[in-house]
Amino acid sequence: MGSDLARSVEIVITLAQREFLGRYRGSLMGPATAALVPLLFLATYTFVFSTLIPIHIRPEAGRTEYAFFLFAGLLGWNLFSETTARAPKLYSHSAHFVRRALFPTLALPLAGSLSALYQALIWWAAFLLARLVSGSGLETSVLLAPLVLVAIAVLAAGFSTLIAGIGVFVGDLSELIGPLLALGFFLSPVLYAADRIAEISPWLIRLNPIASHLELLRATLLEPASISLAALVAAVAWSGAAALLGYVSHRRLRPLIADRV
Amino acid sequence: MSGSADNAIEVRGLAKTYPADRGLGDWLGALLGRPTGASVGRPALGPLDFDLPRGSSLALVGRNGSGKTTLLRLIAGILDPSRGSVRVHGQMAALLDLGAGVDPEFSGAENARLLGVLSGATRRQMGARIEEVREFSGLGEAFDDPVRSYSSGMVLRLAFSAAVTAAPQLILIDEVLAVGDAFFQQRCLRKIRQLQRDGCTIVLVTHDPAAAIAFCDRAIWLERGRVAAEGEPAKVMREYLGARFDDSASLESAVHVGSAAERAIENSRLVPADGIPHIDHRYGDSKARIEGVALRDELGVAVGEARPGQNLRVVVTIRCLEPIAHPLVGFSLRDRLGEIISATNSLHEGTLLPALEPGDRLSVEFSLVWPPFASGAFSISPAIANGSLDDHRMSDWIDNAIVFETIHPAAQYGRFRLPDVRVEMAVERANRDSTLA
Repeated sequence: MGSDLARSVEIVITLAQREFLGRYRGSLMGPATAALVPLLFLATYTFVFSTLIPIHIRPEAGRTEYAFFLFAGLLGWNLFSETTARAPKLYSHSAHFVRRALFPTLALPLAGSLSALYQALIWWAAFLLARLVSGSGLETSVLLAPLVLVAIAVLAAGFSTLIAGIGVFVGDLSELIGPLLALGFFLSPVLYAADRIAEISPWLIRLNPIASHLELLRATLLEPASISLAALVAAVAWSGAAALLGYVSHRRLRPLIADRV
Repeated sequence: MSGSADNAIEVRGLAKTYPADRGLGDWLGALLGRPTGASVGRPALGPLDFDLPRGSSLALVGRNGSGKTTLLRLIAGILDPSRGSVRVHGQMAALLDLGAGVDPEFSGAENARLLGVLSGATRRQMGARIEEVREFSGLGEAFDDPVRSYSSGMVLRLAFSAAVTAAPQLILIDEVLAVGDAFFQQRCLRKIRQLQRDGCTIVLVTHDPAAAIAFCDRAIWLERGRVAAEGEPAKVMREYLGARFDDSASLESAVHVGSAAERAIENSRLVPADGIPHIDHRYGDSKARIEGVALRDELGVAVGEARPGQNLRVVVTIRCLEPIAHPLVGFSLRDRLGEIISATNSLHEGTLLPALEPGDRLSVEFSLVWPPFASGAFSISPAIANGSLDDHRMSDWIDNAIVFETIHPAAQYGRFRLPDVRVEMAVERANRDSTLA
């Protein structure tokens, strides 16, 4: 049993590294692209939501301030959405692994989330660099941000395991996941603070699994004063619940998945 | 019989039923924790009970659909049992789907690491053994190139090398390795033998009785998911081939084994050949048409491979459409380059065929011992003509009607192995008193 676990860990790490490196195979700048892509995204979103359709996070906020606000939100959201977006077809795309002897299928969603976490850590480093370069200054609490990212990765791993399992039986899920994630994006505090959504209904925030993570991440990166215990408890609870959900769904569906993939 | 540390595999009441197409309720029920209940569907295997002691080698034989691959997949943990259990002790390498999991964007070395980890080694171990994989695979420089530049044979060599270098204690093999060229195949077989000597347990699924007998010390013959016979490979294969011969409707390929062959020969009569596998080109005056051509072993089983020394039969069946006074039936043998290696016909071999009337059907069988040709593809072009050896008119000729492989067990340069070569030698040493060896 112990050696099974050790073997699974080996497989998860190997797959995650391969996936992470594989993404930049054949790219011009290799892993440097990993840092460039978020900056391009950021530039686009900043242009759209501070110039084209201005969103005011607070009356006096300038464009740079909004850019960092957005950066913090995207950092967390992309870690989550990138992993879950691929989940519905995860097993069928990796059928050659699923059909291999003694392959722990759970390794696939875990590796996917781990590789997205590597990516997020590069974003995080890019964030720190951008803060320094722009002279905005760094809070010590930025060092806590990776912990929040780990919590988001756990959340993403749990949801992707569930979605990947159902995706084997429900083909439409891969079509639905796009609109669902788009809805999630606009109902989460990425472009704007949580208050804006809570104005419509506080339940939209309370029932949003990733809202507390995003608030917490933004607080550690930009405003340590606003780190709240309530958000911390909620984030840990959501991550734990998602992990449990993923684990139980996997245990129950696994025997059926082997026959289907 | 309870579990023992001396067993590599323990199978208890193992059964597999492939589910009928599952509706919404089934997976949703499973997700919500409702027991799935008795599986309805296509029963594929079992129930089976057996132990495989550590260090032994088991051959699983049976026809297509007899459940042998299902059993192998259950042992491999790819499928979950519907009932019962299968326990495996020790690190396992499954050579089932060798190319699976190879990523074309990564180099051979990088892929070897992942494949090794998937076969149970740790990353650290694979790091240390990577040179071993390079050497064993014989890929040389290409080992560091992206796999997308590999041929399919090279991919298999890489995968096989990575799997066996992970030092497995149990190897599952589905059909004997058609891995790469003859040289590499020999190397694989030697490696498997070496692992066997080192105490590795082997499960081999095969159609090939010769491989079962050569490699294994036990055999299980599966028939419709149940054990039809079990025990010594030679004995099991005899029974298996005997049954196959009785039930000649399901002919695939087989190689003769001892007394099964003898029995078969006693029982044999000439069965007309039915069907022409392949037609490249056809010509003739159509006074008679070839209806079938077959390459068979001495059991009468169609073969797709020929081995040196094997007794083969070429059967040509023709249908007469207009009267033929002096029929001649024969065939020519071509190598992979299309060159005619040999040819013969009924008259040439001293057999006078009777005159034919429209509607008659004639089958001619040529029995021969396959010469020690080097491995490669060969083809048979059958023909029916009317006349004498020197002067005849072709009624029907089909180019390359049957293509088959010949497999020479020893690696070989050139076209064939020189027969009865003996080597003697004499050495005259330069530095010391000269001696004759």
